Amino acid sequence: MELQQLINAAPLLLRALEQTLLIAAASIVISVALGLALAEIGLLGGRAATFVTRCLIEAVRGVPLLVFVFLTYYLLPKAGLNVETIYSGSIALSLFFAVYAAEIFRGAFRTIPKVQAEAGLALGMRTWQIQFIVLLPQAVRVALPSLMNLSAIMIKATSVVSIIGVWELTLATQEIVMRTLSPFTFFTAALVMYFVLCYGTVTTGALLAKRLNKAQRA
Amino acid sequence: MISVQNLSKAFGSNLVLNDLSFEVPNGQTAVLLGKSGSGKSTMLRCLNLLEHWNGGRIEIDGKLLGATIDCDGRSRKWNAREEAEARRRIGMVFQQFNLFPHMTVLQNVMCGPRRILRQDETSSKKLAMDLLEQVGLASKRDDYPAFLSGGQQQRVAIARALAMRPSVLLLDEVTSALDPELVGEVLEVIRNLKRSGLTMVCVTHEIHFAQDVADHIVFMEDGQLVEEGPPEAVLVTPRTERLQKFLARFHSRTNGARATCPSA
Repeated sequence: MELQQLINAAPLLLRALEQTLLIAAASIVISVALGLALAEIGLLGGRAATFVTRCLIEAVRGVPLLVFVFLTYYLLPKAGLNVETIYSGSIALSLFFAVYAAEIFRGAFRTIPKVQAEAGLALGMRTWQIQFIVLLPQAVRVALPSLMNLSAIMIKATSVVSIIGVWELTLATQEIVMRTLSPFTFFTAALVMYFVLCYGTVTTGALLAKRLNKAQRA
Repeated sequence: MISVQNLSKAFGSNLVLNDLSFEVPNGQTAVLLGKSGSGKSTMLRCLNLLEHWNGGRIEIDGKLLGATIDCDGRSRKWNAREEAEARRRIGMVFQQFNLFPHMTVLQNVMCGPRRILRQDETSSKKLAMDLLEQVGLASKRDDYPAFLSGGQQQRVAIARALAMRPSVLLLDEVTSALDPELVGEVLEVIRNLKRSGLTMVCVTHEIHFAQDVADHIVFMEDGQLVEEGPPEAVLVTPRTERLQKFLARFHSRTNGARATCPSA
């Protein structure tokens, strides 16, 4: 009986999973890019730029994700951006997690010895060349495991945007539960799917980091 | 020719370079000798604009370093771009090698010509391989620095600096971080460079190193030039008491080491 329900709902669940993946992938890419930009501004910008990015980071870190999602949902139309909820939700996730990505990058850059930048300087590199040729490739290697961990957190956090009506795995599961009255079956199914996604992400990250390190470290 | 004229530099109230003047003719190797804290490393870093001085001037081949004199006689400090361009003609090798750990040996050496001078892949690679051949590490081209010994890393670092085709090479305590048995291979490379007529300025506190490579020794203490001259004069018949003391301490130390460790 319940297995039959599961089979019937499978196509719907898979489509919802696809939506979740889409939201997660877009948000992860944008927040990592934004995070890197924020970190670079903090590192290279003048005192004012550093202060502004610092304030931004601290402000966002002090807000619950749920509140941030609501805020974005209501503020975007006021700013003249009438977008679908899926976009509004993705934007909220991207912005919210960008500050965490920025902190990860900032910490990673800090682990690179100062003399590395000096070696680039001595070769005649400009500041941006030192950043992109010397420091960033090393910082990315350091940041990779943490970024993958953040990605896993973000995949789970996509469930929060169901609150503003974004149709993804959590909302779809709720709908199915209302129709079938089998909460245990379907929330377990959703849980397994989230778990596989997150576990896969973290394991891939660890594997990638290990391979990089194996090649370059004695 | 490198000409340092009345150079002074202070970190806060601490005067690290005090009215320092010396010259290095083209094709010669000068060694700045002195104990740690004598200001010799700071002097070397000034030559590569890694430090900025407060007074005096440096000229390389008759051209002022670090500033441009306008037509109305006022001097204007170089901006970041001008400094970077000047550094491309002045190679530097560090005590701790500072190779880029995420690049292979070949990528490290190619980095300068390919990514800074924007030469094409083929010629950069050829230049890099020639230089690796010259320092005896062509077979290590695809290894990452972490898999190399200190001596090998330092030779790669020298090749990386040479790949920019510098007119001057600065060497900052390049053998000090190495195990004694690895010093020889790096010295050999430096001797070959000297033979090829490259102008070099080396910083060291090791008298053997100075003896080995110097055409001209500048002995420094407390940011001041104490004594200078060819090694056979400076090291054998020191005129000043301060240099005599420095040399005596060195000799007693090596003798002491031999006494406690007869196999050395």
